[in-house]
This record gives sequence, C-alpha cells and structure tokens, in this order.
Amino acid sequence: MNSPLIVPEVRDREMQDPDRLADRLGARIHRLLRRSLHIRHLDAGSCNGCDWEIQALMGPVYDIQRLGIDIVASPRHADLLLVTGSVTRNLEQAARMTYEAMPEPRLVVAVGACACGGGVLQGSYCTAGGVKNVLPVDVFIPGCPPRPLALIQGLMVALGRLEPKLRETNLRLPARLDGS
Amino acid sequence: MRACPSAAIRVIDGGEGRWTWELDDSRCVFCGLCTEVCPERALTMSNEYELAVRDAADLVTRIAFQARNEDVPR
Repeated sequence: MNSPLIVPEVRDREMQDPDRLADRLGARIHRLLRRSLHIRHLDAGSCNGCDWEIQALMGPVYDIQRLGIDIVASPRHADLLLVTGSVTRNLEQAARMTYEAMPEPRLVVAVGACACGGGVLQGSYCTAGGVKNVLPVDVFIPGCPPRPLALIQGLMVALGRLEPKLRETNLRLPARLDGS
Repeated sequence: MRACPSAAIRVIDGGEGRWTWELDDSRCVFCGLCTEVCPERALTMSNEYELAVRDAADLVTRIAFQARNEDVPR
C-alpha cells in the first residue's frame, strides 16, 4: 500500500508537516507544465462529503492555489478532471461529455470510495459502479471522504501520469522534458 | 466481516484451512467499527493517508494464510 517512491522516514515527516508534501507537488507541477494545473471538479452523484474535502483544499489551511492549482468552471480550460460520486445513471452522459470537452492531454482522478468502485452503492442498479466503468481513470483516491492531504498526494500521483501523456500527444514539450 | 457496514472486509474459506482475508478500499468508509470489535486487536486505525493508486486492482488488500487445525472453526 505504501508508495515505493517515498522512504518511510520521509513519509512520516511529511505526515507531521503537510507543507513538505505540498511543496513537492508545487515543484512537480512547475517542472511538468511550466504553468498552472487547472482542475475541473465534476460531481457525478456524490453525497458532497468529497466535495467538501476538495473545497477544504482551497481554504486557508491547505491553500493549493499557492502551488498554482486552480479549480476552473469549464472542462475546456482543465487539465485534470476530479470526479466524485459513483456516477449515477442520469449523470453518466454528463460525465462523458465533460471528458470529451477537455483538451488533451487530460487526466481523470476518481475521488472517494464511491468514485473508486461504487463504495456503499456498489452493485446498485442506479449507478455505473464507479468512474472506471464510464471514463479511463488515471488515479484512484480511496477514502470516505479522503482527507485533503490524501487528495494532494493523489494529485502528485496523477502528475506522474502526465509526463508520458505529454509525450504521447506530440505537443510541444517544455524545454526540460524535451531534452533540448 | 459481520461488523463491516459497507461489506469492505471479506473472509473467504478456501477449504482445508486455507483462508483469504480481503479489504477493499473502494468500499471501505473508514468508520472503524471493525477495529472496535476485533477481539485480537489485529485491526487498528492509523494515520496513513497515502492510499492513492493507479490501478483499481491495487485497491484490494489480500492476505492468504493457512490456519492450524485447532484454529479452524467447526
């Protein structure tokens, strides 16, 4: 379960000090994107628990805007789609349309137990049983709801997926990634 | 397993004392009821939060073990 990239002592220190984790996330965003990471948050039938935790990220305690992360109002402006909720039938099409409206390279992050695999609604006829049945998910963040630090760590894992995607899409890469 | 309100914990009897214990993070609501009822304190809550994974299959923690004869419930 532990991330092999992070040695335990470092992880323990980070658990005491959220700023350390946040700074690493900020550095990774700058290295990969050379600009801000724009997130579109999609509520696909969530109970609002996860949404409140995402909202807490924007507050004065975690304050992810200082790292250059912003939550935007349109999927057309977004690099990353944060999906909460188990994707109800009525929101299935909306989730697909939101994904298709995003420019490439795009990332999808499933936030919370419901989005990861249906959660307590697993097997219900009225939900798709998790985001993975509707969209290609890059990172799953379990938790009911996941705490803001777990979300920050999930965003870091997601950014790790961005580098190969940047190469795949043949976009002009930032100079440091290009090797030029 | 009986204490879990969201059926995240599964205990599978493979026969002949082979048991598999599963915790599905994609169902777990972290309520802590399993840790309250655990008689041997095998389950505890921790401050670990780095649970994000790239593959949905990694959300399931699986432990398989062979029970001794006297441990097998009749």
